[in-house]
Amino acid sequence: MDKTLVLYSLILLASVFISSVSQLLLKKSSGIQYPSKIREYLNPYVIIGYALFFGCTIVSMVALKVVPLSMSPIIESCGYIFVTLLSFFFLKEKITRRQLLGTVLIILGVVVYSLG
Amino acid sequence: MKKFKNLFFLHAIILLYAMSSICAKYASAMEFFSLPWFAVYALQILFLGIYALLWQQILKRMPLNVAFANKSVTLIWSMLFGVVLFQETLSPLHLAGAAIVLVGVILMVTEKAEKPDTAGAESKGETEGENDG
Repeated sequence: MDKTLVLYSLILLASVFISSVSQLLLKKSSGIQYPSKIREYLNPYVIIGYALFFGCTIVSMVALKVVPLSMSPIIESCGYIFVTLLSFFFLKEKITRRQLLGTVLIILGVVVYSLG
Repeated sequence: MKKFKNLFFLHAIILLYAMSSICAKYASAMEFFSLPWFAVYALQILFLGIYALLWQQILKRMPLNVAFANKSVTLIWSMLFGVVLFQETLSPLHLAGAAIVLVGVILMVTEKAEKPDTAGAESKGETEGENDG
C-alpha cells in the first residue's frame, strides 16, 4: 500500500471511531428516562450524537477520495471493535469470548487485505 | 412465504444502504460544497434516512441477530460496486481478507443480539444505522 492510501485509510478509520462514539452517545441516551417525547430526541447526547454522525459522513467522503469503495467496508468493520471496546469502558458491558474471536478475525482480515 | 418476503424486504433495505456508499464515493470525486456535490450528498443522506426508517420496521418482523447477520453482506455489495462502477481491482488476498473480516463481523453482530436483555436497547441505539460512517 502506498503512503497516500495509508493516510486516507487512517482518516476513514478515525471517522469510523468518531462514528462509534456517536453510537455510544445515542445508546447512552436510549437508556435514560426523559420527561417528554421531545426530550428523548432533543437532549445533549442525541444532538451531539447526530452532529458527530453528520461530521463523519463528510470526513468519510474525504477519505473516499483515495480509499477504494471496495476497501471501505474492510476499514469500517473496525467499528464493531470500537463499539465493543467503548461499551466495555463506558457502559461496563462485558466482552464475551465470541466478541474476542470476532475482533481477532477482523484484525486478521484487515492485515490479510492490506497485504493484497 | 412470509419469511421469504421479509428476507427480500431486508435485502432491499441493505441494498439501499449500499447505495448510500455509492453516492459517497461519487461525491468524493466532486468539488466539495458545490451544487452537484450537495445534490449527491443529499441523495446519500436520503438513502440513509429511508434505510434507518425501514430498518426499524424490519426489526419488528425478524430477530435482531438474523437482521444483523444479513446486513454484513453490505461488505460484498461495496466490493461488487467498487469493481463494477469504479473499475477497482481485487486480488485473491483482498478476497481472502474480506472473507475473514466477514466471518469476524458475523460473530460480533450475532453475539450482541444474543443477549435478550440488551436487545431492545440495541435496536434503538442502532437506528442511525451508522458505525459504518
